[in-house]
Amino acid sequence: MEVLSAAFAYLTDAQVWAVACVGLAVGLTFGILPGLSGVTTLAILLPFVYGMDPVIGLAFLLSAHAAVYTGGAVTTILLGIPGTPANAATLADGKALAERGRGSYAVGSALAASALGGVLGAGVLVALLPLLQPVVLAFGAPEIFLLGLIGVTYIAVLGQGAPWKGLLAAGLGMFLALFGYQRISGVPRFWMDIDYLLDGIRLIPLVLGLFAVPEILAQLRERTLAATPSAAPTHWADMGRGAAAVLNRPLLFLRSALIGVFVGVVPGIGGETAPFLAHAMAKRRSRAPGTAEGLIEGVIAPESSNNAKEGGALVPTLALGVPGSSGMALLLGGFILLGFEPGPSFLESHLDIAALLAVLLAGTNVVAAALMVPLAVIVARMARVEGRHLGPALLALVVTGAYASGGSLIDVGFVFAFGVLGVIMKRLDYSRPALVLGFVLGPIVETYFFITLQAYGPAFLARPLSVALLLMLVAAIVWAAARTSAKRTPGKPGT
Amino acid sequence: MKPDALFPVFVGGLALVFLLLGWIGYGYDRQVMLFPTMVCGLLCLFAGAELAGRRTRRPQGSETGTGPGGDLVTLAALVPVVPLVWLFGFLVGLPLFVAALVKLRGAGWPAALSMGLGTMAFVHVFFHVLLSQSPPMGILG
Repeated sequence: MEVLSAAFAYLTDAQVWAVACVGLAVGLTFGILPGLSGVTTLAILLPFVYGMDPVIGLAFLLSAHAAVYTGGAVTTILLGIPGTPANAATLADGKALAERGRGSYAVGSALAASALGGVLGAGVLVALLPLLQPVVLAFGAPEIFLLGLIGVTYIAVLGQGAPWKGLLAAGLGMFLALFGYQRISGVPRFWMDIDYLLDGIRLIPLVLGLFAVPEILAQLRERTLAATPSAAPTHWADMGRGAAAVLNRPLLFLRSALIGVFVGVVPGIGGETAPFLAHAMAKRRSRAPGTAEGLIEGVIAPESSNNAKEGGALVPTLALGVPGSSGMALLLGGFILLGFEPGPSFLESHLDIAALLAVLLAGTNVVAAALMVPLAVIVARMARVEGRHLGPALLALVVTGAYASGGSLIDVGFVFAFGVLGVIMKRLDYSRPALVLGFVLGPIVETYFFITLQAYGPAFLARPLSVALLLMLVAAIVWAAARTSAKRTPGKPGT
Repeated sequence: MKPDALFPVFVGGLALVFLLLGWIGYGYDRQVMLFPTMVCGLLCLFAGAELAGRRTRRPQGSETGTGPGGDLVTLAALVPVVPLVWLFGFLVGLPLFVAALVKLRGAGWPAALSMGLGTMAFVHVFFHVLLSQSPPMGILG
């Protein structure tokens, strides 16, 4: 309760609310614009929190990230354009409903499911944080070192791509983090007499290059969007009936939201999985014949799990420094920029901020859904913006953000250099979030590795908690190797 | 060699070069190089495993598609924004580039000019209002 009251004390700060509202508006806008995922949104916004008060900065990033999926649901249903990849699970049923003139009904359901799913996810987070605090207090340097390794490994091998590619990307991130002053000795490493490299490679140019530049190129390539149907007019009563449809299906909602929370909690699975799982489960349990499209269950299930997963993903992110999704890997970058060290020490000393983030997550989801009710049709038109306009606008944001973060045009140059890496990695299907996570956690892993060796020597491997974490690490690699081997077995369809 | 095979070779090679540079070129001591040695060693291992895995893996969508060449050419067309901003500053250089890019991508003059003006307004608001400082000037003003 003390923690919650401390979190509510932050909530009386008008600045937190103002920044959360701006973040929410930005998140909704990015969610509406096709192709810009939650990860890209965070990448573009990271430079703008540099120098902010840490709590304000985190509030801004989280509210923007939370609102992205709500905005994307509206364009998915009304125009058939998924705002984010995760919204694609809603496409078949949502669009079919809109084509039958029931777009408002589907939008009402999607918004209510998003809001309630977000609240449920945040509720689980609030309930788990106090329980996790005593657990993380038992962690010493060896466990923090191993947790760092687990975080990098999980996101690298449990994602959609090939495990070796994920590990190579994560290792490359750790390699890039080697440049500049070493934390332990203070010796500048690999700086090649270039003063800029004394402080190491900067996170913001790296993130912008990896995520924003390939997106800008994709937008510029698309000269115009495919012809899309007009958005259906808004019928308030239909929207209300859509929202009521969620309340009339409490089991469906709970099951889908809990799928989202569970998928979010498991590090590395990737947030995009949750809505598809929930959608498949809802269709399987539906009484409608075969693969019938245009079922409201097919809208409620993915949308509730989509927003609930963010609360789940924050659990390992805040408690262990192990991101639950690729978006959370970037959020960890935000933690570093704002002066926090991700990992067990964060929960130990900033439980109040963690609780504030949970409350904000719930609040943002509700406000975003409420805002979208009157604005649904207007914002759906924004999705028709052409790539040749959107690309240059994003470029202006990226160049300004990169410059503002370090006050140097060299940072802008590095954005383009890492843009080359981002384009290649995207095209060759290497995990870019794994690279960022390796980069963010690399210095922490190195520091705790040295502390562990100095304090315990190799005997740290005999600590029970370390053994358990090592087993988790090995299990992830073995599981990934087995999955890869199963994919290669002739006759078995690729999963 | 295909582009998807070149990448692990490049990453593994880069790791080896910096490993040698650290131990021999710079002569860093063990404390400084222990962790880089582990990271670079693992990178070489992962690169090797990925290369070996390519031989047995069935072709996947992204690997059978075209390389990143087209994207890199488009990216090269964006790089002139850096010298333009360096020469004319953010308030002039960036809007100029954005307007030119919109026009070159096939939009009309009204769209290009309004995008340029919008960028100018954004730069002004961002630096003057949010950061309370003048937008960075270029060497030509």
